[in-house]
Amino acid sequence: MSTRFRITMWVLLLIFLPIGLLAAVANGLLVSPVGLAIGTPIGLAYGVVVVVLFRLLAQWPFAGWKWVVACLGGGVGCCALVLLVGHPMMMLTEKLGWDAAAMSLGGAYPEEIVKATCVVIILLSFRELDRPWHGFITGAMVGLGFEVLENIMYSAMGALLSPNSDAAGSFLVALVRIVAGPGLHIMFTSIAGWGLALALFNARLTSLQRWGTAVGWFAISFGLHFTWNLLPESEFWQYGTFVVAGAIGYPLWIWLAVKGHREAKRDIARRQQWHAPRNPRVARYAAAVAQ
Amino acid sequence: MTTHNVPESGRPSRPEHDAGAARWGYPAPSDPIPRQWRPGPTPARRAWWWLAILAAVLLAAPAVLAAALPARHDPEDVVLTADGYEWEIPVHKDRGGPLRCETTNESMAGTLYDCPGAQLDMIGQERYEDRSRTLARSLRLLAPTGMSAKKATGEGVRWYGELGVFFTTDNLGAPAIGLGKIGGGGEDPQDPEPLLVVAVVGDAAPAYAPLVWQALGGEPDDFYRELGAWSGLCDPACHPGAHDDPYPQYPEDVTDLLRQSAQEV
Repeated sequence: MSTRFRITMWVLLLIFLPIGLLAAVANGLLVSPVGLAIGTPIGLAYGVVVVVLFRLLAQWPFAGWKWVVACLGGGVGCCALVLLVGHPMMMLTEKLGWDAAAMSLGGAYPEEIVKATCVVIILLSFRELDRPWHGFITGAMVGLGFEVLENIMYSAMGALLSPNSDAAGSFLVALVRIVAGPGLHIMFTSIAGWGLALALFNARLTSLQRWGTAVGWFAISFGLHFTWNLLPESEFWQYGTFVVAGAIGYPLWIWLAVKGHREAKRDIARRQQWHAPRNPRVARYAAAVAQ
Repeated sequence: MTTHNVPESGRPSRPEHDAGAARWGYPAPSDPIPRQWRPGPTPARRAWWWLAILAAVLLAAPAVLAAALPARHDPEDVVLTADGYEWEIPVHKDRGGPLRCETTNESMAGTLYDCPGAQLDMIGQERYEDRSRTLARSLRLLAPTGMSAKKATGEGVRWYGELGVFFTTDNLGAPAIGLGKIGGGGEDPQDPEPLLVVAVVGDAAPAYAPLVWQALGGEPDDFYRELGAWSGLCDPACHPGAHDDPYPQYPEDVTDLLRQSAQEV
């Protein structure tokens, strides 16, 4: 935990969280107010459900509501920052003629870098965060904040895709964003978060191993996002990229989630005084581990 | 003789030490995996600077590279098509030869052609209930700078058989022309449903739209009649026989008049 990181986190949050919220509202009002009105409650409901599910995981740290605000607000702020810095990469791919990779680089590159930076800042801002699974859940929450705002903006823009009405288009896009490729940003960022936390908190790594761990896990996360966003000419591979990214990403995410949940339970049972000893979750995990 | 002694050469490993401590009657360590984790990098100041510099370099690099690279000039023949449909309709200039424009990857549903003074984008639509509303809504979708929902109700769309045309302005007041063609886009050429919508938006849109209209199979007279009716102008935009002359590539005069007319409307 570092005061420098904590101050940085709150300053960035104060700057970019309002920008992200304003951008979503302004975009929605300009493009389709109906789309905004439909996409917002669906996006928020999705966010609430996912937070409740995450809350059941042992990885959820004893870091209080400030951590929740930092993660979700950070995700929203990341979306705003990407809107500001993402365009040059699109220009670059266009100048290079890399049409198939335009969305991969234009989307994955700025988004994953910004979200990973956000995760590192949050991890080093709370003393309660000191394990790889804390990076996993922090990444998942940052990805969730990002995804909810992105879904709301897509819903507004998707309103225009329907040939018949804004309401039909918005509703369809909001559902497709949740059902087809659910939790993509959650998956990408939590995988990166696991690796970044491993690099930051493992005491047994040399500097070289630390950098290798961080870069390696980030590369997996970026590679999955890059693959998902690829636009190959072949119609077969347009779907093939989804299958490849999903077949690697989701099982990896589930494995990390299960592994993190088990290790977090054991860790909490061992370090009851470090966590919140009176918290019923601590006693429950301690009893489970003892058995 | 016990073998639990600490070896003279070097320190015992931590598990060996813990196991030995337990055998010697000392309390077992509360944390079986001590020192596997640390609170974070120290000093934090150095980590902060590493992170700040790394993020700044990675995020600024594309902007620097994009600025350093020359603009790409690789015009392609304009072909009216849409992802997932069978249309492949080339657009020709009035004096013959294919119309060629730069392509960009910013299209919603196909290829966006960036022509001097106007942009051409297109989309295929199915399962529509009202073809006029769909044409107007599609124009609203494809207009790069957006278009008011009030203009996309379908009012003002004119049909000549299976070809539709809709004149309006985008959010910046530039001419926005939607051209639609029903049929020919499905896997079965006889499928009457798919509707191809081509959006021509920009100050020079009135110069490109007739080319698209003709490529879709429309009569030039019909287009100029509608253009004149929308703009309230008959000269030079809908001057009888104007289509017989090679109209200018950059019709500033026409565009200025159209813009004034649109503002008045």
